[in-house]
Amino acid sequence: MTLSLILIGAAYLGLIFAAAWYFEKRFPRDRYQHLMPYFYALALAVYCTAWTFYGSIGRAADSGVDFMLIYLGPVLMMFIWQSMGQRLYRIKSSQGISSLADFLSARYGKDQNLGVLVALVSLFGILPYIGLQIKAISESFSLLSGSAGESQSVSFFEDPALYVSLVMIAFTILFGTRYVQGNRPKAGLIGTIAFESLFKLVAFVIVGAVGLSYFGSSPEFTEGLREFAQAKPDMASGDWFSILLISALAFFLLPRQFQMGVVENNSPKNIKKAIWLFPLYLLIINLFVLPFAIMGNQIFPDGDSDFYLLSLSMTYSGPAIAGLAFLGGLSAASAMIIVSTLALGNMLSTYVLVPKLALGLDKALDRRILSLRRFAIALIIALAYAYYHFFAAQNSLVSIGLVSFVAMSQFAPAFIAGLYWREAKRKAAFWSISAGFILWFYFLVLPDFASIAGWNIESWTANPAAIAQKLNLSLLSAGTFCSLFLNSLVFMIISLRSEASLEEANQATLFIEASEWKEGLNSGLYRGSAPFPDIKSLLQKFLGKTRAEVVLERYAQLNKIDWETSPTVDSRMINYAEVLLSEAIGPASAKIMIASVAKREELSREEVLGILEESQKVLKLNRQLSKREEELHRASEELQQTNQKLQQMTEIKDEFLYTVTHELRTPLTAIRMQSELLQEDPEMPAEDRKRFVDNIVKDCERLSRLISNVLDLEKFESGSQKLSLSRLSLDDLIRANITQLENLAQSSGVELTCEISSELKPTFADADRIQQVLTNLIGNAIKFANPEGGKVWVTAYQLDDDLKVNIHDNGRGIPESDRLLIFDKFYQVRHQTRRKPSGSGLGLAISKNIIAMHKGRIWVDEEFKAGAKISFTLPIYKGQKTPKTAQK
Amino acid sequence: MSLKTINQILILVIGVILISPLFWDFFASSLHYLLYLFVLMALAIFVLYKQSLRGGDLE
Repeated sequence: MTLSLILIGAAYLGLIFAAAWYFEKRFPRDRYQHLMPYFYALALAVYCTAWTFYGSIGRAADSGVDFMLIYLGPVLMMFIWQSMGQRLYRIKSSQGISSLADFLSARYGKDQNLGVLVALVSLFGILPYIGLQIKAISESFSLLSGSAGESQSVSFFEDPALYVSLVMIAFTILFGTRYVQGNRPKAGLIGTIAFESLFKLVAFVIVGAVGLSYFGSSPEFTEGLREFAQAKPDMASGDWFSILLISALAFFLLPRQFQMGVVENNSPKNIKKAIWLFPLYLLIINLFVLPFAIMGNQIFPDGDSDFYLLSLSMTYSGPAIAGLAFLGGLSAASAMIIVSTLALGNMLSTYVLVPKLALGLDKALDRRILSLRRFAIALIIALAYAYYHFFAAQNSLVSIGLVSFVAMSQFAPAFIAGLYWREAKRKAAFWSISAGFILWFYFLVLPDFASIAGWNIESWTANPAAIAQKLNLSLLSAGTFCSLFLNSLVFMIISLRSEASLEEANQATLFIEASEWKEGLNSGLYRGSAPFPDIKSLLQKFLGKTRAEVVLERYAQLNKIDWETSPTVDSRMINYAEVLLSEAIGPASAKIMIASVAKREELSREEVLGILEESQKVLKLNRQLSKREEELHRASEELQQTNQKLQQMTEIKDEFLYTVTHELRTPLTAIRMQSELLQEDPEMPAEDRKRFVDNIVKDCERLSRLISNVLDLEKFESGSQKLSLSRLSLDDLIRANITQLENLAQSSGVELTCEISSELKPTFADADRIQQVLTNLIGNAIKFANPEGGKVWVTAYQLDDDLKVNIHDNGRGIPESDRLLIFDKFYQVRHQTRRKPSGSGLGLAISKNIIAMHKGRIWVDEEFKAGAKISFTLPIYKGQKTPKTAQK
Repeated sequence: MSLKTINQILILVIGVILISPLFWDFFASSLHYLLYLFVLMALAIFVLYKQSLRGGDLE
C-alpha cells in the first residue's frame, strides 16, 4: 500500500504540473476567456482545503451541525459580493494591486508600514494553517499506509510531507512567479487551481456515494442516525455567531481568497457566474459530511474524527476508493498551500525583503525581485513545514483553521471602512490591526504556546480562559469578539480624532468613488511632469527591458504619442507608470520610486475632486458621443434598409402593373377581334354569331373577375379590407361549398370527397371570405387533379385550439422549389412554362391574406407526395369575443 | 448607497436571522435543523442565480 500511495501521489502531483503547463502553453486563449467565469468560480473553491475534506467530518462528529456555519458564512457573503467584488476589481485594476497588503497600503496613503504590518500579521495568522495542510497530507498518508502513530518516529527524510512540501515550492515558484508584475494573469495557475477544485469535488462525491452505498443500510449507521435525530441543536449562541462572522469575513480576507477573488480576476463579469456557482459547490461538497461523521462515531469511537473519511473508506469501500479519498485530500491541501504561499510570498517580498535588499541597488531589479519572491515562497513553506513538524501534532484541522480565520478577521474594520467610509485613517488602520492582533494572540495562541512551554498562565488573574468563562463564551468566541471589538473601537476613535494627509485623503476619494469609475480611474491625480528617459529607465529597472518596451509602446499607440518628439511625460503617464510599478513592488515603494524622478505638486482634496469631476464629465461626454454615434449608425442602417425596401416595392409595383396590363390585354384583344368580326360580317350565321357573343361575355366576366381580384388584393395589402366576423360553423360552410362545386367537378371528371369530423367546434370568421378561400382552393384542386380518374379530398378536423382544413388532389403536385412561391401574386402567370394559367393568379395570394387576417395559417404540406395538398387553420371560437367588424 | 445594495444587505440580514438560534426551538432535532440549512442553502443559490441574471453593475 505504501508504494502504491507514493506512486499515485507522485502521479497526481505530476498531473497538476502537466495541467499547469497545458493551461499556460496549449490551452486556446479564446476558449480560456470563454471558460474564465467557471475557472474563477472553481478557483474561489480554494476556500475548501483539507479541513473541508477531512476536518468538516471531524467537526460534525464532535460538535454536530456547526460545521455548516463555515460554509453558510461565504454563501451569505455572496449576496453582497457582486457589488463588492466589482468595486474591488476596479480598484485593483486602477491601483496595480497584487495582494491584501497592497490594498490596505494603497487605501491608506500608500503607507509602507501598514503594508509591513499586514504582511507580518498574515504570515503569523496563516502559517499554522499551511502547517496543518501539510499535517493532513502526512497523516492521511500514514493512516492509509498503516503507519499511523509512527509519524513522530519517522525520520526527516522518510516523511512524505517533506517531499510534498518541496513539490509545492517548485510548483508555486514555476507557475506563480512567472512575471514580476504580481497581478498579471496566470493561466497555468488559475487553470490548475480550478482543476484541483473540480477534482476534489468529484473525488469527495464519489467517495461519499460509494461509502454510503456500503454502510447506509448497516445497523450501526441506522442507530447513529437515530441518535442524531434525537439530539437537539445545542451550540452556544456566541459560537454560532462568531463562526458565522469569521467564515463570512474569511471569504475575502484570507490571503488565498483575496488572491483568487480579486487579484487573479480578469473581468467583473466573472463575478456574476461565481455568486451562485460557488455556493452550489459548497452545497455539493457538504452532502456526505454527516453520514461519515455518524458512521465514524459508531465504528471508531476512539479514533481521530478528522480522518473518518479515510478510515471508513478503507473499511467499507476498499483501497481504490480510499486512494481516491487520499488524492482528494492531497488536491485540497496542495491548492491551498500553493495559493496561500503565493499570496504571502508576494506580501513578504514586496514589503519586507525588496525594500531592504533591492530598492537601493543601481541595476536592473526585475530578476532580483522575482528571486526574492521565490525565496519568500520557499521560506514560508519551510516555516510551515517546521510548524507542522514541531507544533501541530495536537490540534484538529478545523480548530487551527478557525484560529487563522480570526487572525485574518482583524483586517475587516480597516478593509470594509476603507471601501465605504471616507473618514477612515491610516493611523487608525495601523493601530486597530495591531490591537486586534495582540488580543488574538493573547486569547487563541498564548494558551497553546504556554502549554508547550510549560507556563502556568491559569494562575494569572486575567488569563484567557477565565475571561472567556466570565463572558460565558468559548475561548474561540471570546477571542473573536474581544479582538474585533477592541479593533473596531480603536479604529473608530483614531479615525475620528486624527487628520488625513493629502495623499491619504486623495486615495480615500479614489477608493470611495470607485463605484463611479467603471473606466478611467487611472486618469491620474498628479499635477506634474517627468523626463521620458527617467520614467523609461525606471520601468526597465523594475519590469525588465522587454516588458517596459511593450507597455510603453502600447501606451504610445493608445494615446497617439511619439516618444521621439515628447521629451517629457504628463501626469497621466506618470500615474500609469506608478500603477505598473505598484504591480511589481507595491504602491508604497512605487510612490517613492516615482517621486525620485517626477516633479510632483501636492493636490488639495478640492483639486482632486475637481480633477475627478472633470474626468467624469469627459467620460460622460465620451459615453454620450459614443451613444450618439451608435444612434447615427443605426439611423443610417435603417435608412438604407428603408431605401432597399422602397426599391423592392417599386420593382414589385412595376411587375404587378406589367402583369395586370398583360392579363387585361389578352381578353380585351379577344373581345376586340370578335367584335370586329361581328361588325364586319352582318351576314354571319346565327350559330357563329352566338358563339362569338358567348365568348365576348366570358371574356368580359374574366376581365371583371380579374379587376375584382386586383381590387380585393389591394384592399388586403393596404389594410383597408374589413372582415365581418361572426360565429361560424365551418362544417356547414364546407358542405355548402362542396355542393356548389360538385357540378364543376363532375364536368371535369373529378371525384370530390368530403370528410368532416363530427365534433367540429365553431370558429369566429367572415363566412363570405372563408367561402372565397374554400372555392379558390377546391377549384384549384379540381383544375389540377389527374386528368384521368382525378380525385379531390376535403377533410376538416380539430387540432388543439385550431380547426384544420386540408384540400388535396391526385394531380402532378407542386414542385418543391415553388412551394413557398405559390402564395405570391400572379404566380401562375410568372410560371407559364410550367403550367398553363387558367385563372387570374391572384386566388392563393388573396386566400393567404384572408387566412392571415383570421389569425390562421395556410401552407403547402411538404410531406404529401401523391399530388398537391394545401392546408389552413382557423382558431376555434372561444366565446370571449363579440361579433364585430374586424380591420386589419 | 443604491437601492439594489440596500436590498442585498436586507437579504443578507434576513438570511442571518433565518439560520440563527432564534429558530432552533422549531426543530425536533439536529437532523431536522441540518436539513433546513441545506434547503435554505439551495434557496439562496436560486436567489443568487436570479440575481446574477439581472445583469449590470449592482452598485
